[in-house]
Amino acid sequence: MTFIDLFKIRPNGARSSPSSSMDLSTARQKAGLRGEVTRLKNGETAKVVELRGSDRIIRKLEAMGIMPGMTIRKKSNSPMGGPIVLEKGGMLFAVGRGLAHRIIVEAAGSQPP
Amino acid sequence: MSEQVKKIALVGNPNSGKSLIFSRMTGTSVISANYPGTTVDLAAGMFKYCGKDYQLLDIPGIYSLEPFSKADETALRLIKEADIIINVVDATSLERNLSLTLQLAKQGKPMVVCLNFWDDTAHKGIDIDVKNLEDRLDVPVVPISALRNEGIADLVKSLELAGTSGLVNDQMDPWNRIGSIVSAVQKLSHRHHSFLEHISDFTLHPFGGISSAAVILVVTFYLVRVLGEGIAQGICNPLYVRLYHPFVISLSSSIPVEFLRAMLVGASADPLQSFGILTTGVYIALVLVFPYFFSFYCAFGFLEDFGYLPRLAVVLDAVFHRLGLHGYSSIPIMLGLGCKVPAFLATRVLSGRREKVLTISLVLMSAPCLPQSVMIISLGMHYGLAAVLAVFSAVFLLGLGVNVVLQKMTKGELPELSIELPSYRMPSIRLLARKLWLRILDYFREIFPLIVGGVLIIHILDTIGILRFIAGTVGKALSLLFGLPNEIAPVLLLGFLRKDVSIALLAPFHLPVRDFIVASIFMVLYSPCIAAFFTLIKELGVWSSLQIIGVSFLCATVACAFLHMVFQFFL
Repeated sequence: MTFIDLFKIRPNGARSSPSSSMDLSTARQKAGLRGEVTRLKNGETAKVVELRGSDRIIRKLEAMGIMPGMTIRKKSNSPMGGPIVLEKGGMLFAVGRGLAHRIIVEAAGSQPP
Repeated sequence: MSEQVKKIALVGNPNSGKSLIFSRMTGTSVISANYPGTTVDLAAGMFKYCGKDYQLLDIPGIYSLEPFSKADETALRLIKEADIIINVVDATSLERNLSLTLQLAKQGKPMVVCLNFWDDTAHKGIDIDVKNLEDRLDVPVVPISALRNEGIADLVKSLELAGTSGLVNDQMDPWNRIGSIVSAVQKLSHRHHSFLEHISDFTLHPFGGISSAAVILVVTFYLVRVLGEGIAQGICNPLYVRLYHPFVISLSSSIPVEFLRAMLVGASADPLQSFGILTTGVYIALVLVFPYFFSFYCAFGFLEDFGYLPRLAVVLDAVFHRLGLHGYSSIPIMLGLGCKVPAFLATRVLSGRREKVLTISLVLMSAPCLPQSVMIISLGMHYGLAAVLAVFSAVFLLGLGVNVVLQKMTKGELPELSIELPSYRMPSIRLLARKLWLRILDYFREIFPLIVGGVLIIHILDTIGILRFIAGTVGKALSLLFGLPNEIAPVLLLGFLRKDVSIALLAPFHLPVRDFIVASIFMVLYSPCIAAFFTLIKELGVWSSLQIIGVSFLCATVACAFLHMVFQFFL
């Protein structure tokens, strides 16, 4: 294990609130449960099922290729309510936390997309 | 009747390499970098092919044919005007890029698709069947690498074959269409993380991101200083002292007119005190500022092309939320450490007006531009590090203070970051050198006329006695409010032309440390320089610009008067 490998996957989703980590484990047990993309663990893959919010926000996300039906992977989240990083088809996107709450996904397990 | 020159537009997603293709095709140079939103305005150039002239338009990157920002609006207007579209597609993210391709195809204009970053596909394990893609899109598809200058000739040749795509009336859902195209033409093979991807992961990791940002910024500024000092002490200063200065002095000694000679070389042998155009002016521009200008843009150019700036935006997003902004604003602010003009332009990719105003005020007020910083440091270090730090921290805190006030005054929605993170790419040395060269040219094009003009104005005002009048009126206010000597007034006014020069002109006054601090802060904040002033008006309109400048001036006055009072009581 190299030094960099240490940072690839964060151990047990530290710093997420207790309730969201509960949701997380249930999400993992029953694949197919819906939730905000922020609740995914780093490295987990999920399918986008819904975009919430104003028309403008939805169109902006869609223009970047984040839309219902797409499989995305959560790469990491930044501390202090910073953005989360999503991976889709080899591309990386950073999405502000407020925007990320509007991306509703269905967990699909943690195998790579 | 002569045939009209055909307009060809380079259209593509942000950061798909349009600007570099533009430079390659036209031979004219525009600034390119590895972050979305490098181009915010139109660049147009001509090129010739088979005896025919074409006009090529480099257009800001867009994700779709809907405007989200001012840069997007510019792009859409230009697409409408174009005769032929070159759709620049990032071959390493075909699926996402094809969304725009399909929308463009439906415009019914002759079009060519070019797959840029073709050289990157192999080691990323991406295999695209170009012939098949061509058939499915029904327009010519040309793989190129603008970075390595490969395939540009093929792209130009393909323009003759540009046609309207049969997909113009495609009824299928766009994302299904894209899915069917991608699955048919693209094969992905598994491969291991490359070294650069490991670095990318590390700089996005919560801990790794913050620590690497701190390390990168500290190392960058350290390198800028060391390299700048090396060039100044090792090359520029010896050249000036041993070659240039004796040469100019001997040359000017043959000038019979006393007034003219004084204007050109001044009276003192000290290059900072002579006030001559050819001595003080050249010394500041070439010996004091240029070495740091060079080293700053060396380092900054590398960070830009490597692709670090968007990652910095991610790391700083949470901090910028406290400022009513999101992380992308860190890019204009970084640019503003160099020069305010490109920093103002970079705010065009921000979508909201409030966002723009807040960012611009931070750019303007939180830190001086590079030439000013260099002069504050080089003069301030005579008083000690504490004096320099006092100036910079006071300016920074005032910038933050104004931001808080502006946030209160302009209620609005907190914008959210949504940005594509480009892959890290090892920058090409030749491209870095070219970009640096462009910036150096700009610097000299602007700096010499303004320095010469500024010093000239001071001289003329001095000779006809207006200087004494200004020193009398403005100077009285200055001495009353800030305790500065009357004679400083014209120097302050000169700051509007070139701020670095005006700070350098403080040298002959031998101010005590507290006056130096007050004068520096005031000079940084009281107004933008002339170039920044006009850019500001272009970006925000006259009224808002004057408001921002007014707030800044007021802040400068109040803060400096306050500081002066504090110094008087406690020092």
